[in-house]
Amino acid sequence: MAKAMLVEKIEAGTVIDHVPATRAPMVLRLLGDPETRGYTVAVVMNAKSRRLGQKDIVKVEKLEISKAQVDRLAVIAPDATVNRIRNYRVVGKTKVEPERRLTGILRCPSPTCISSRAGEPVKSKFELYTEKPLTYACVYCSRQLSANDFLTQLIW
Amino acid sequence: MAGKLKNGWKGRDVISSLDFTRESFELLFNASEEFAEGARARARARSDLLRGKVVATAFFEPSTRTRLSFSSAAAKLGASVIDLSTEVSSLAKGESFSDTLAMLDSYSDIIVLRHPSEGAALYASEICKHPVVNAGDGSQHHPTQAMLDLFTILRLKGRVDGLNYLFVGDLRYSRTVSSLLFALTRYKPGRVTLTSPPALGLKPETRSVLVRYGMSVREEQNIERSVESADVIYVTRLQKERIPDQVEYQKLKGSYRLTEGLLEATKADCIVMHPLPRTEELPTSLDASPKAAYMRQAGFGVPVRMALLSLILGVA
Repeated sequence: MAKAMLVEKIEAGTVIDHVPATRAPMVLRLLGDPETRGYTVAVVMNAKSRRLGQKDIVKVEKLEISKAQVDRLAVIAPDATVNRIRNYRVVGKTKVEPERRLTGILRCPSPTCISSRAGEPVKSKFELYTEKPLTYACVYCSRQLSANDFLTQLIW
Repeated sequence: MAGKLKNGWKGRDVISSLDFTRESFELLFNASEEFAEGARARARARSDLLRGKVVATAFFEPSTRTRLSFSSAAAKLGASVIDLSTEVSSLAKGESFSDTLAMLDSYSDIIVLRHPSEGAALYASEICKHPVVNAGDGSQHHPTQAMLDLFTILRLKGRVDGLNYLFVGDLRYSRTVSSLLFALTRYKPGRVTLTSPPALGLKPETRSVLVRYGMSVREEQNIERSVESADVIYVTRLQKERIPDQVEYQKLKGSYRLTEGLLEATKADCIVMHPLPRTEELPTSLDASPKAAYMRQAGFGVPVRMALLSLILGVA
């Protein structure tokens, strides 16, 4: 018997697959919370995955995301695949490549960094430091963050 | 934000030693040499070089030498100096740093800034149209100190390349140490040795930058062993104001000291540098030694900063 799909196929939009389990809400955050802007969003969490064991899948109808938005996902879903859908078919697949600079995405944990200063209109800025392992360094104080830190330092 | 030219100085910000090439440093040192040689006569002859320019000094942390040497350098070149007094300005009323900087930017041609937060100078340079000179921010950058340190080494040792450097003291919180190490990545130093109490070793971020630029440093806990081969000994005080745990500070207080006995064990032409102010790590009994270079080093702050202001404001 064919397996029933948890969520219907979408006619057009974006499907983000191979998101580490439970990180779908973070993906939506990095996409600019499309669910708050009227887009139809479907999320599957903790689905079985041969590659990851468990994974999340995010589908956003009628939204096509830019390469920069794809690459921003590197901090939480470095192995994600982003599928562009038109007429119910996958018309493009994009792998995530880390962005050179992240602005307003990660919070610097250093209390003495200017970007941590309360009351200042300063946006955090991180630059790619190494790709393997993935690390970013705060542009202001050089503090380096690695994969484990990204989750705790993500600006919600 | 002021422009960042590769080797040029006009209109540029001075945020980190790492922003400069060796050629940029050499240009600065050549100009500094002019201001250092026969300083009095030269200063008289050039006292109108910056006439009509306004240099703003904004020190959000205490300073003696840096503030005064910038003010002195500006005055010798005929510039006016306006000083933001952080205690009696609107900062005391809660004005933001960014608003204060925007105001200073509209009142001056160049802003000299010191701040306790890392990255404050870079942030200021994003706000200001005029050049920003970092006079020390947080525990990582103090590029103009590194410049005068290099100038001191050139003046007293004749070269920077090939010398053995020994850094002693609080290497974790001292921004003068990291700035000089960053500047040395533009040269070919001999052996670079670090001697500090274990809790005061280089920050991982600083070490990582050095690795990236291919500079190898070695750590040596035993100061007796490390002084013998040094050509330049760079001592720093315990940075009390940046050590978060004052109980730890009390434990570390007095944990290192350059004594007369150690100085005797150094090479005959070794020089001892210190960014000052000093506490107990550098006893005054060493001052009479010809190896003691720290007061001359402090003195070079004025010609180097004269050259820096002239180059940035485009008149040198």
